[in-house]
Amino acid sequence: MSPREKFCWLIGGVVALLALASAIGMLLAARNRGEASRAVIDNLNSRIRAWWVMVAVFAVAFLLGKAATLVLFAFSSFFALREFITLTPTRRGDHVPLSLSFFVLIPVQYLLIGDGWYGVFAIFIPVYAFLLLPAFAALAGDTEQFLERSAKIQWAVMITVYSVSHAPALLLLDIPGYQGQNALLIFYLVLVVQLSDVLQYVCGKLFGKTKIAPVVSPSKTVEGFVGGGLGATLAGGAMWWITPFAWWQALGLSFVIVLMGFLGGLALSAVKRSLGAKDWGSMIEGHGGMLDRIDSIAFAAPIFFHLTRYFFSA
Amino acid sequence: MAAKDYWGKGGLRRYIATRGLNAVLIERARDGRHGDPLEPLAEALQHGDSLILFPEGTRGGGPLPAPFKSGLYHLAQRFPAVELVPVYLENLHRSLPKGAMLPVPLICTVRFGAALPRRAGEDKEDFLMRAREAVVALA
Repeated sequence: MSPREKFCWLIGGVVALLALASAIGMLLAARNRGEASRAVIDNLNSRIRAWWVMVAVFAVAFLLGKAATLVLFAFSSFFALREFITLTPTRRGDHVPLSLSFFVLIPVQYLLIGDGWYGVFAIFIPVYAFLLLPAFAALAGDTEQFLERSAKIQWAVMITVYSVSHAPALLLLDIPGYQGQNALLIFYLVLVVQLSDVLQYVCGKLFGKTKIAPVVSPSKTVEGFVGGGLGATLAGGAMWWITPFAWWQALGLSFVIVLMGFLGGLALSAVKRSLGAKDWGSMIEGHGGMLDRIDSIAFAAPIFFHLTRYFFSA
Repeated sequence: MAAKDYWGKGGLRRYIATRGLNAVLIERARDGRHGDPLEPLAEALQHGDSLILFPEGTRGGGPLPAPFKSGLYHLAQRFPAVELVPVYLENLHRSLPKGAMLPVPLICTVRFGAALPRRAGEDKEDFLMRAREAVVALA
């Protein structure tokens, strides 16, 4: 099967799944009589509507090629960083490091992927930005909570820019026998992560009883995690034919993706709550902000990238 | 409305202010004034236009506005029928603080309050205090 055919099958599958979800959503809305369940069903339907838009944007970027995919992820980082910094208390002295984060770090990090310069891509933010951002903040001369402020900005940049950029960085890998198909790996990663989020949400709503961390994230339950995680892992295994992996390798890697995605949702939920918010923003209807949607990608992408690089790339 | 000493300087700035932002420029410095500095504003109100005023007269460094200048009071006295709607601009002081070259693209929110009720016989200080509190209440 050619990469284009694989892509068509994948998109066909996702569209069929969304059509099914929309039908179920409409049925639930029509049959519902209770006042309390209406809020849940309305939220479900706005989530499904937002999914149609997200899938359309993703598919178009994918078809347009590498540059469009990089631009899409760069904008995702931009909006996620914007949400993170909006909720983070910063001071006047942080202005220059913050401007640099948006207008220098994001474009450079994604241009390095476009340029195929792995060596600098891997250390640009954890080394150069790590050292230079606090240096620029120090020049402003404000020592009030200096370490906390620097740490918060670095954390925001590491999560929203560095970690997220590892999803399109899959394009950098040279995998024998898989040349020209790396974009399918991005699709694979994003599909497994998001499927896991969706199935955990569905299983949690249907069977959820035992809360995993009620203070951090009241919607995460053992039943939701096990059911949704298992479903997404199996789906990831069943999609081995679009990857360079054997079926059992795909199963193992999708398990890692699911696990990291779950931990990402949990850790970023704790950060969000420590900043006193319930959602990161409101740009995606029903879901919250950009970062509510890509928190799990931020955690899964670097690990998936490095495992694939270590075990499969030339 | 905008400050003449800043927005009136240079061709491009003046063009952006008057054509782009449709701003009424007023003189802030006392010695540069001829006659009533509020006259251009009064004229706009007489034409039935709405005005966006920044009653503190300058940009501050913090989240809350500085004490209001008396211009708002005088205009309110002259135009008792004009509605005074308090507006709070959230995060603008963080997004582009005074003196910064580049903005930080934060999520900024504009919040509108209910029109400030007029009180007969209220003196200038009380009125300006009450107007500022109406804005602060939206923060």
